[in-house]
Amino acid sequence: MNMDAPDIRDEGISLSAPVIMELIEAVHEKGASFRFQAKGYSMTPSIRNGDVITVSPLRNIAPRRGDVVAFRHPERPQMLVHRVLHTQIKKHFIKGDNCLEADGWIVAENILGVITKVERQGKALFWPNRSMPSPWTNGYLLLYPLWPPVRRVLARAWHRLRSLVAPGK
Amino acid sequence: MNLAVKINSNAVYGPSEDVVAREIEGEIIIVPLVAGIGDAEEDLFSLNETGRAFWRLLDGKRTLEAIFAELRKQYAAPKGGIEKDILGLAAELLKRRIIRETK
Repeated sequence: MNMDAPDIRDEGISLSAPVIMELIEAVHEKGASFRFQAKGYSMTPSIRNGDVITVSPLRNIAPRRGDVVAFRHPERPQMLVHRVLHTQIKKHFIKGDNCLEADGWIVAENILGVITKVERQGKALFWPNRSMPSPWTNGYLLLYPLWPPVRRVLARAWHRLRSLVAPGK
Repeated sequence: MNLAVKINSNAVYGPSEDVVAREIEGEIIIVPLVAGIGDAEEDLFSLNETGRAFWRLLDGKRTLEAIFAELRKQYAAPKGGIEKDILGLAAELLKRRIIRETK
């Protein structure tokens, strides 16, 4: 067997979703949070492609309505980060803010953790602190899922207004 | 300030409690836990094949000498053929607090 010089690498490590899920579970076993780069647009504008998100262990606390959770897709080897819209005992109805279709009811065992921090271009964004919900936080959580349809209506109204003011543009 | 770390080949080293290491899809991924956060973006480590062989033997029970002997057997290497490289890796891991001296 050939022996290369042993080496440690800290750059260019690309993680697949199953690997991230396994690492999240391993880090959570130690009670720590896991931080990684989000990919995709299903939670735009709350979480954008390239944002760095921190997923924390639930520590036997059930996710609440409005929480954004990381969960294992029940049918595919995929991890998703979407918002809880409704909760029942041991299952949660989940949907991406920017998705037309919901993920459906996800059993509690498939929830990997809750998103506690979002960083964009090195700056932490306002993100509701689930341990100390303020009225503002509760309002934010309640209304945020409404943002994508409201945005679509506003965009349509803006285009219509522009076509009235400057027809042909 | 002298940041050099001293490695003793008669000492026993093991993975630090401040890291999570998992062998996934043939790779060993090491996640240091800093302030309660494992960071996949900036501080994630992976080892090459020889590094993985070393890591698997790093059980907090064997001395580095015993690990050298085992690796020499695995790679059919002559005495003195691997020690320098392994000591270099061990020093790097110790400097990054991925391993610690257990005995």
